[in-house]
Amino acid sequence: MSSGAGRAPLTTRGRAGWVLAAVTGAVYIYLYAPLLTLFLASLTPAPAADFEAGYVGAWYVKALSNTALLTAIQTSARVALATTVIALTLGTLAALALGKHRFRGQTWLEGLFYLPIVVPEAVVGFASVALLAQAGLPLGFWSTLLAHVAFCASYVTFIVRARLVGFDERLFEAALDLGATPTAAFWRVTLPWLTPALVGSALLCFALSLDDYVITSFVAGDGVTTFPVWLYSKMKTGVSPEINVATSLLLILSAALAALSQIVQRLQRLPRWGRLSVSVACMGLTIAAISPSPQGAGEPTLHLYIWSNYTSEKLLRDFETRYRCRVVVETYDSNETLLAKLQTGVARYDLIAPSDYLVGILAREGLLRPLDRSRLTNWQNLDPAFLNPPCDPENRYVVPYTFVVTGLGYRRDKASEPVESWDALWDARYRGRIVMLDDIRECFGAALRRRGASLNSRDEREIAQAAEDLLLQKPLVKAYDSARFEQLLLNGEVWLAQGFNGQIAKAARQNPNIAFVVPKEGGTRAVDYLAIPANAAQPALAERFMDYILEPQASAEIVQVTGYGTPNRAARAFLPPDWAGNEYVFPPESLLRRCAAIEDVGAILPRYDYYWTIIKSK
Amino acid sequence: MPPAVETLALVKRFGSHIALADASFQVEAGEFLTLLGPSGCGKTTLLRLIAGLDRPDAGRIRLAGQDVTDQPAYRRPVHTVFQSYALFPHLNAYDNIAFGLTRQRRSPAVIRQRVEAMLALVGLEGERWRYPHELSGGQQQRVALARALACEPPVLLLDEPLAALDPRLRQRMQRELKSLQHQLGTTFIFVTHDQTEALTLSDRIAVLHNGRIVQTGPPQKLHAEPETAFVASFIGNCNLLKGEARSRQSEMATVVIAGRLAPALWRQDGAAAGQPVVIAVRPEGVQLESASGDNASGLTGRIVERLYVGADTRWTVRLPDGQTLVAALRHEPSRAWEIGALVQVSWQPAAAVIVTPDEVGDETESAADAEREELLGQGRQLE
Ligand SMILES: Nc1ncnc2c1ncn2[C@@H]1O[C@H](COP(=O)(O)OP(=O)(O)O)[C@@H](O)[C@H]1O
Ligand SMILES: [Mg+2]
Repeated sequence: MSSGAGRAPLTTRGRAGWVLAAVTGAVYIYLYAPLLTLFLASLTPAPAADFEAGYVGAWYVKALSNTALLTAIQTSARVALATTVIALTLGTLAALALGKHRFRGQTWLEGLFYLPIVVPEAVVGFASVALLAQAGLPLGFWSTLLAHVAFCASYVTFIVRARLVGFDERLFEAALDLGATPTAAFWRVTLPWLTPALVGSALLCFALSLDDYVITSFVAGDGVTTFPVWLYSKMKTGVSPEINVATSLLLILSAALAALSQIVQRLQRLPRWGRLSVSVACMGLTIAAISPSPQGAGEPTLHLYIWSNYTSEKLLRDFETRYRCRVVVETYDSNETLLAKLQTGVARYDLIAPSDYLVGILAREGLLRPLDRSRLTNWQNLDPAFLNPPCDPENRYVVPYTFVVTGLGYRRDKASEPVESWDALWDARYRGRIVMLDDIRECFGAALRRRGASLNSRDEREIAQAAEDLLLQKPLVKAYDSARFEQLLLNGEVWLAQGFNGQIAKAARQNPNIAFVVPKEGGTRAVDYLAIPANAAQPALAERFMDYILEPQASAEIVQVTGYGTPNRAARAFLPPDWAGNEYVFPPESLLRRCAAIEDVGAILPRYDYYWTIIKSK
Repeated sequence: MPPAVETLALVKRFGSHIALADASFQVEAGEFLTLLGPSGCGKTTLLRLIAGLDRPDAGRIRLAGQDVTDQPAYRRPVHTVFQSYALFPHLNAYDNIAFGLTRQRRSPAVIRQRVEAMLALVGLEGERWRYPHELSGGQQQRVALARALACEPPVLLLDEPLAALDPRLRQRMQRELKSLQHQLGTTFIFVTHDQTEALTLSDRIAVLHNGRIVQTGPPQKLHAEPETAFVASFIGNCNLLKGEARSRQSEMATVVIAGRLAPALWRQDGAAAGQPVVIAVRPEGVQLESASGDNASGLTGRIVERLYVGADTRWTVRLPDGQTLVAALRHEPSRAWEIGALVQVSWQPAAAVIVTPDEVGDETESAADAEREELLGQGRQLE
């Protein structure tokens, strides 16, 4: 009847109908093209270089064997399931209360109930954090659950209430009339009537909780990494096929849940298959949620906030079993992010890895906790050259972790001649084959050094000249990317990469045509340290972790995983010869002497920022 | 043996509106009692009080001599067939019928046997797995009936169960209901606003008007001897004429209408000659004849309207004092008057009854007017 009425205008008003159909089609394409692209990308066979066999779905296999991803999925499932159960109960009770009793101001009260649906998520997230802070509740699983329940319950109330309005009160009376007590009548008649709405809103809750990023990013704190939060942190370091897979999975799941929710809500009653699948889904989810997670419960937890690609899963697991604890890792990709996180004071980490110039700032602001050196039994393994650095002259706060050199990686097989100067980055022959670090000081560093100026120049003219050079260089640059330069070198998309030695060293082991040089004008050197924030919850565990890393075997493992040199002298003995003698990982003293550390340039920094903005936006 | 159902001075108010005022009646076991009245008169309210779905503001309810006024619905041994059927949409026909038995925790074998019996009784064996929305109106009605009867309640309440059915189906269901009631011996309290239905089915009819029971009795009695103007107009569509009692000899009275004398039955006691009365005259009892100007010694009037209704013609006549009355006559060539023609009006003494005027006098008139309007509509359609 309604479908016939809907079809009539299309056939009678032919041309208008076609236009309408075309526009509708276009809108659908517009809506779904990005999602489809993503999905197709996730299916592309992995290149043979990365895997033994390149087959469709290979990325799925890889993604699904990623423990961090699996943990995130499980965390999400847990949060979503608990949210669903609680929100469903609360929301339904609220709907029943609103439905049964009439009172003054009801419309307003109901309006308030639905407010969370329309209020911007960022506002809800921020308000939740403020409230949690006031209440003194720590951020974590429970705070996430609380926040999710809050916004999901609104949806449940909305849906259940709508269904309840359609409920014929006489059905309830008919049940009473046939001898059912009011309780029995509720379970036997009212509830079955509500079931489609209950199942529908449960699915919706699950999907909403599963999908939520904004609110979760506010209230989750460190330890809890839900699927979207994991996804987003990954995405910051560039789009990888694994992310395509993860996103596709999330997409398919949410779409399926949302669609099912719609279908179920429209049903008169839940058919047999519906009841069956509901029970099966409930059972499956419960099993998944209560199954032991990779992390044990009730053990002390070390919250490690560190650069991406900077730890070894193997070491973390070993540490966990050895000291009966959990290690939760969250990653960042710039010192500025780390600083911002610590300054808010909301996040609480036990161990961080700031670079040298940041150490000075953190120490000055009182954000670091002095070390108890008596607990660092392996201290003597360190190379004295790395002790008492200018940023922490008495080694009160930090333990050196790795050292990094910025130079040039290049493809020997593609470059016209061996590269030895920063000039190569301005060579028009490499147009479109150059990648630069997405880092203001590193980019300016290259330009300044090329002209013979200091890496930490405070001279207006020199800085202006460097900016002009960078602007001139920009047409040659394929990308500014601090996370994937070695990937681009490996797959041949670029031939020349400004980059850190560690990643390039690892790439060179895969492809001997990749080389790393410290340009003759000089490069950048940095030391990254481990430090304990002043507000750490587990400082003792953090020191234990530091001491563990100082064991020569552990440091040797870190070298092989990250590709970066270690200040741990004793570790060299535990490295295989091809690592110990790797000049990219351990640049010889002659090279290091050519490098300088990035220092705080003080009041002139805004000039750098100003030019950088222009360069990036042109 | 105490009456199956007995209500004593039941009062029910909704806010300031009085839905039931002083409703008292009795129903004997096995009786088919019909509550008849126009819509809004309180029929459903009365049934809900008996079923226990609402509580009365005053009065008592007894079932088989037991006071149940304070018992909740689910403890009362009465079941209801609701006006809208109220079938459970999530249960199929079988489970709907089994609902009450399951609540009574009968054994599965008993339940199966009872439900099968009910399905057979209402002829729905083939539809047992159907859900309410997959059943026709008549089938839904039968499921509702079977559901209410499955527990073999001593009393069954039926709230306009046939109102939603088309006329042919309604007639068939009326017959089936009647025979079912006869067969089971269950006490039926049947609600309808349809006087024909009430007259066809009932052992006894209680006429409800403005929340009061105005007359109770067997159909023929109500039809022949309405006691109030309302009953007279509601049952048999009587003409209600205002007049004055002139003389009375036992049950026979002479009344003055529009200055002329006419006979009427007067059954009630206590009334005296010389007082104003209301006379109910059935249209079928009225005779009309052509009147020439001089022989008009009796009641006369002028034709103001003519309606053809089936085999009858309904003539509306205006009396000299402005009152109108309707006469239903067979078609005959000799009775083909023009509008405005003068006719002589007469009736047999038994066709007219003196009735009690209702408190709200003009409401009865409006009921009669509504009736006339309805006929007018039909007549126009026929013409
Ligand atoms: N729940 C209620 N609230 C207010 N008024 C009601 C309610 N139920 C019935 N009434 C009023 O009481 C009167 C009798 O209603 P009801 O018993 O349903 O009449 P009917 O004879 O048509 O079944 C009507 O005027 C109706 O409007
Ligand atoms: Mg009614």
